[in-house]
Amino acid sequence: MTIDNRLPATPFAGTVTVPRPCSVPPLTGMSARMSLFETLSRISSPVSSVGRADARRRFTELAKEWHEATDHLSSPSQIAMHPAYQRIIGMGPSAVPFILEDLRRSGGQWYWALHAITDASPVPPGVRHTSREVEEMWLRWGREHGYSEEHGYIDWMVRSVGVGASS
Amino acid sequence: MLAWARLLKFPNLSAANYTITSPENPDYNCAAWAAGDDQAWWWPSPDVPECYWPTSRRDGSLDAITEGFGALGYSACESPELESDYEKVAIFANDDGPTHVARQLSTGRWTSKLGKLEDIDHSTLADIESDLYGRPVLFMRRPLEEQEEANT
Repeated sequence: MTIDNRLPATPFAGTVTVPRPCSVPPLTGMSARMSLFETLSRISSPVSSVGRADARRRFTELAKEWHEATDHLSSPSQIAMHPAYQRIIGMGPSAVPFILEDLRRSGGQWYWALHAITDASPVPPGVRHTSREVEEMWLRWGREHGYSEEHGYIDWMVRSVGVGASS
Repeated sequence: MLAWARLLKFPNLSAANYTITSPENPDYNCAAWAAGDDQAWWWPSPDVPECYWPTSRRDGSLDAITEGFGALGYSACESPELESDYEKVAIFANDDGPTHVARQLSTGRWTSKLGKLEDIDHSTLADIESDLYGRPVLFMRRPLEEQEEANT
């Protein structure tokens, strides 16, 4: 079997395939899910560590450029139009763990990017929330959707091949 | 003193015309600070419910900013000159739309929160005119008693 070690440029467009053993009865339920998860973890581990390091390096460079250029601005649309911010959005779900980490560490208007990438809206509109409350709602959403710093990348890969949905 | 890279964004600032009054804080921005809130990010942003705005119009326009401060008791006025019975705000805009709100202090000087960066106290509105903030395009005022009621 040949595995394409290149990461997809955009999420859900990858070519990673998980081999299905034909000589053993198919597993079901949680057993199947764990088995496939472990298989995928082993297969993708080298890919993940390399790809993740690249993604982190790229994110760090872009975020630094964006912070320097826009931290004195107030309008979220003007902040989000910066080219570095747009390129971070272009990184797709692989950027989300880093965005949440930067949000927790430095704050800032990451919400446009989070909406664009995830299509999620964990913050109820029309109500005044403090920035700390907003931040915590997104961090909680990240934890609940597997975007924690430790597991975000592997979770993205699991979802990109539809393991949870098909087993 | 502001970092030199930041000073480059505000070429009219000099050691003689501003002081930093609080450190960087990403929890609030200029519009919140002008409205007396140091816990939330205020902007009439249509696609970002994380931002608070006191009125329903959220199209990012100057009119939306005007309506928001109108809800706080402000109305448009002619000039930024100090009037002892009023508190004033100045709204800045550039070609991209509204960019900044500054609030006048009882001394006649102005206080500005620079995005998620520092608050500064500056002598005049011209001190922060720049390509990025543009220039003040609208002045609003409210009687000081309304300010006291709004803050209670």
